[in-house]
Amino acid sequence: MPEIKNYTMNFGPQHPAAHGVLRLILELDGEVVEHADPHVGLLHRGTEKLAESKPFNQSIGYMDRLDYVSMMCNEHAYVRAIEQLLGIEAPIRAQYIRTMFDEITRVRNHLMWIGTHGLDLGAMALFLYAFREREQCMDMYEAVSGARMHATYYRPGGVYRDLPDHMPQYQESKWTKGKNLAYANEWREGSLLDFIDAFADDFPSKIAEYRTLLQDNRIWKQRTVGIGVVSPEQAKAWGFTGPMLRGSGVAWDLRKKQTYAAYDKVDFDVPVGVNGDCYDRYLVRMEEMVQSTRIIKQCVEWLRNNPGPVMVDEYKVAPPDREMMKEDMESMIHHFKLFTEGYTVPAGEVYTAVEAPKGEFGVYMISDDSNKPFRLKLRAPGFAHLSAMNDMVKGHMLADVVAVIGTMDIVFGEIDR
Amino acid sequence: MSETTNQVADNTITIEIDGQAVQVEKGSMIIEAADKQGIKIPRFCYHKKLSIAANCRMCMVDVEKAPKPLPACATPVMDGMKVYTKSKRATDAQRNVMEFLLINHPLDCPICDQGGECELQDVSMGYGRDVSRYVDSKRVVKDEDLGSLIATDMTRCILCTRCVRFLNEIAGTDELGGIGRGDRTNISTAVGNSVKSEMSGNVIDLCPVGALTNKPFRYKARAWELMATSAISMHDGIGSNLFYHTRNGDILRTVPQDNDTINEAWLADRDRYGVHGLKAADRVTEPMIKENGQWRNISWEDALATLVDQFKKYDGNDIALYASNHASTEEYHLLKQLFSHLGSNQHEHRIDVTDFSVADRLPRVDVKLADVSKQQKVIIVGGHIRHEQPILNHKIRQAWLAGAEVSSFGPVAFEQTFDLLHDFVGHQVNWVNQLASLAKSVAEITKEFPAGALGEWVKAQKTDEDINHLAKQLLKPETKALFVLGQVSQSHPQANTIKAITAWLAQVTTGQVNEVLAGANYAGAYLSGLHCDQDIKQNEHRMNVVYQAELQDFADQASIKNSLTNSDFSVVFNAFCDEDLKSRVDLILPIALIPELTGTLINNYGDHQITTVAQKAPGSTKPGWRVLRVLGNLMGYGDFEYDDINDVIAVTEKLAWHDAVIHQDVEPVEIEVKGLVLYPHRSIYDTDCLTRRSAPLQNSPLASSDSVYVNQQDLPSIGFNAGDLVSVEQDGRYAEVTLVVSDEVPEGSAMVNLGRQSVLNLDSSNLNVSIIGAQS
Amino acid sequence: MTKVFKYLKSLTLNEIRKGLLLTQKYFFKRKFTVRYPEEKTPKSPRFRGLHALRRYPNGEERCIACKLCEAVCPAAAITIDSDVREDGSRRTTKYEIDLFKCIYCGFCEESCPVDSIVETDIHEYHFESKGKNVMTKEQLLAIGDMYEEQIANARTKDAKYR
Repeated sequence: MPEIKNYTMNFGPQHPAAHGVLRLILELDGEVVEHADPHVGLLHRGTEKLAESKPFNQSIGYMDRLDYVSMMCNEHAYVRAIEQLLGIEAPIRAQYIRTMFDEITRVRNHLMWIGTHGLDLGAMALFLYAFREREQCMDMYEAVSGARMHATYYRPGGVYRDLPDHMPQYQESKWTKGKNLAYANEWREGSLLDFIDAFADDFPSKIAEYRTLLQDNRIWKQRTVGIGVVSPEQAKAWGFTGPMLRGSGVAWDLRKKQTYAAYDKVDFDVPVGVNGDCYDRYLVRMEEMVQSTRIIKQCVEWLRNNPGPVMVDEYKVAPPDREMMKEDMESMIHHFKLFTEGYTVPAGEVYTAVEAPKGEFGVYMISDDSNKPFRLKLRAPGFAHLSAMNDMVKGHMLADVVAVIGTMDIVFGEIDR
Repeated sequence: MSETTNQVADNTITIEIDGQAVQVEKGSMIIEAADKQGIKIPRFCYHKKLSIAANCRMCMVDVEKAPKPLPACATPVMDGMKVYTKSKRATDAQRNVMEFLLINHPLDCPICDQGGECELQDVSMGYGRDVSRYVDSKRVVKDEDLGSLIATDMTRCILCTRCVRFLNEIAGTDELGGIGRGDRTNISTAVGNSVKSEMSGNVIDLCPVGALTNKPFRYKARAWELMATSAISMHDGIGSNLFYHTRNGDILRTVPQDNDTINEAWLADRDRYGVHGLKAADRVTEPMIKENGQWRNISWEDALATLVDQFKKYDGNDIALYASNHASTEEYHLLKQLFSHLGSNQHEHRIDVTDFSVADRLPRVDVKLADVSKQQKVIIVGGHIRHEQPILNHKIRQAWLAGAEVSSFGPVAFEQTFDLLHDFVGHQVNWVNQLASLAKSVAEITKEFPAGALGEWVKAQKTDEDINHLAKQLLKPETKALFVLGQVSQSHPQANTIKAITAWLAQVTTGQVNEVLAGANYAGAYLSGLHCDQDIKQNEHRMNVVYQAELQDFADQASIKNSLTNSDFSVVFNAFCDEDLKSRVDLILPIALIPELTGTLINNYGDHQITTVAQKAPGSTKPGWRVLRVLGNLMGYGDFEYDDINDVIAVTEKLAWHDAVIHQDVEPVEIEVKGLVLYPHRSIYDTDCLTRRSAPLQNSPLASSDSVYVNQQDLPSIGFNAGDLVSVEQDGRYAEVTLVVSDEVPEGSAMVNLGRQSVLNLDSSNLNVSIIGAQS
Repeated sequence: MTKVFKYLKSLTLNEIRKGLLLTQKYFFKRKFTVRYPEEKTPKSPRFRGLHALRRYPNGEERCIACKLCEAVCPAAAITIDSDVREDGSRRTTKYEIDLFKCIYCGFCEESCPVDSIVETDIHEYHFESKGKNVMTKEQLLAIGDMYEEQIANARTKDAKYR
């Protein structure tokens, strides 16, 4: 009998299911994966090093571009690090806005994940439905920050601007008029909060639709149940966080365990899985979207009733508003200095983490009493997850590699940084 | 040693600032103690080199047991004093002062050149309020026109008076002052005057706000865009330490670099604005050759090949080298090496000198620059120190402020920044005789005359009361005199006689002698051996090499023009080449100037200082040492194997200053005077190729003009009126200039500005001139 | 027993049928998509798109070359050369934005003390050759002139939050 050698092949970096630029070296025995070796670094942009070369505020925009499907959560971890070093705290309204947008971001992220994960495993329609809802979230981003993705909205000391009291509306056209126009603008008559509220009311029914499409679907279950099983011990040992950890049954959520922003003031549950396979992680993420909607509803309620400042009243850190800057000498100087040199952060080191949609996104920052971070280290949850790739796919079929990549919710912006 | 330690210990006391114990000298101020300890106290009017004004009130600190906050800059320390700079009382006082300062400050930050390097902004961020409570209108102050160097926006002024104090105390010109009272006070010149100090640019650095800014630099760049390169000035023998600030590789401005033994915190305007000449239109950027009277660009390979051919064509001593005094030591060293191989000793860097009667003129510098301000008696012998070495003048002024007596001998009653005990002014022959009569007066007291011909000559002089008074002063045993031999002496036709008399005087009165040397690197050229024991202009050469010099740099400009015209082949290594030089040479090789190269400069006082390249030289311009090194290789000489500049520096750093040999065996020549006596004056901004091309300097009040200056008394004999266009005639050559009457010029003297193109026909060595009608 | 029941239930293809029913429902529902480019989705007044340089109503350019935008630009996309204009005022001689470098963070607009540099809501633009990604001062001013009304409206709408 002739000896059959294992077959080694490249998976990616241009493979559609590689979620960006993942390059996997797969060693196959027939169709069974013997070894999977992820190669990272193709999207490395040196964000950590780059941040050392510019004033603190100027790196906020680069945080967006780490995990580029959950932008504001990355910003949140970064500005919290600066706030802690400065010893300032954002006003309560800003805390609620951050909480609300963190959850909108979570919904956005999971919609992206369910869409592409479904697509990878053969569920085409779901992708379209998920992206339809994601579009609404993008509109929320745009309304508040001016950008649909890379918001640069959170600032040390609060958020850049308060929520607008108008949503932009569709204009009448040859095809969209009358009833159609009213339908398109149905949620857009009031303020951004009204829009978000309407979305939050409607969204659970959409989640139900996704479940209709997937939950009991035999193909879906065949592709996910029992695939990539991770025991709770292993998950902890490998440094899993977020749904990857909770899918294995460990109830660990920073929003509960090390609460921040306004999470201690809102009511929500943390879903956990049982078996630690791809299907359980799917269930956890679907339930997280439901819980996020709950949080969003509570935040909308609070924000409606509690107007107030969204930025600290401290011009040594936050630039004065434009009107003041134009007629007030002190404000002029502070505006000028903040936009050229930035502020000085007292020497010290800090680690702050937020429960990003993918897991614990952490920022470790050292300041040497200057206007730039001395060192910035970013903890990307995806990196720890990807590290376990070999262990998770070993013994599975080639097609299951795609399911495992999908279940990890890999985004290379944060892994390669 | 132990004695001094005890003295120090006696003199110090201990105070406590913010809980830290600080040992300070008795009588010093709190702010000095805090600076020593590194504790920051905000300040505007305080400057360590200026007197204390205590008028900005920014440095308020809390002193234990004092009823009110006290200004740290004007409160002397006392033993056991406890100072708090960050207590509530101190910070409240600081914040309130800041609020008052900003009440009248315009919202100019975005258009202000100081923005980003503004002390007002920094202190406001660090110590001020973050919102203003003031809503009324702000005051506006009429602007001043301070000339081509300093831009003003007086509305921004916070009345710290640093500029006023600088001009009073350091520059010594009293040109700015506070006018008006209360909130109408403003800093102003006396009506219609502008600032004429040769150090005026320093007020730009001193101004904590944007009221006084650098005019040529106006609106060019922001502080955060600039890269600083540490370098050495190329304009005088002080070797001022400075930073060139570059943006995208272009030098945009110059700021001083603190060096307490050299330029302290100051920079002369010449050093600050000289670089603006680098981009002049006649900059040579490609090697050029003249063929059949036509210039064309050639490659470096062809240019050097041509040069090698020419070198091989002539005998060693048929080739002459004239080098200026503002190239780097490395270049001089390589030039010397090249000429040794060529077998020529016809090399000369003393192109501004006319008296070559003593072969080896080793310059004599007895007193270090930093010690000049400690002298008790200074005799300036033929020199306008203020324009020759502004920083040296500042040190003499410091000595004068401390009580020193300063006297001067010279051809012009130069405007000084100190009072002179005696000012002996006479035409070029006359003042030397007066110096000799001082020697006679001294000799009559000591009963000991100089030996030989010098003694005979001294004996022949007449003395008067003033001379006798100075002689008595000099002979007082408790004070030693410093004789400063200025540039006027150095390029005087009787330079060696002047030096001999001075040396004798110094010897008899136990005094010391400092010579003021031309250029930034006279010492480097001298120590490299680039001098000859004769006046090489008198010899006929078939080939001339002119190294980084222009015709204007020479003392005998008519002679050098002849030499160049009469030779077979002339090559010039320089960054610039004007038409006068172009028409007399055959090959031009563009080489970099000091701001564009790395090399050593040895200053007047023997300090080796390395300057680094701040800006890339334009076009195919190469650093001179690189060209000479390749030339050496092409000539086939084995010892030109230098890999980089550090290999050459390794050789030149061994060059050391040594003690001068004093020559007293000179033969004084009595110069016969017919008509007027020429005094070719090298003005402050005519010293080198860069200053002559720097537009800001040439537009400033100190720039020279195409004029001949005579005394009112001489007007009848001349037969022309002030303002007439006349010709200064010398041996049948003419220089066309405007006649100006000046009180400063003594009777019988005709002063022209050497270094201007109009006087290129005159030789400095020939003192006899007459003024006739315009020839054109 | 449940196993048997589940097996029998699976034969009915019930969950597949439910999914197909859902997609079928959307087949008849009102469409969510817009007919781009004839139709466009609404844009927020805060939208950060293509840059423009604005002028004062009298035609004078607003920019005073203070270089705050250049300093604050995290991507160093803005290049400014400044000098004294003939009338003595501080002006730019070069104002360039490299749109390939720009990350559209909006800091330039935030920093501008005279509301000169703005990010308009234009997001449909393209370049046809290398080097065209660098917007010159003339181009930026032209955009400002062309869309001034739109720019001013958006700024007015959002004025109370700035």
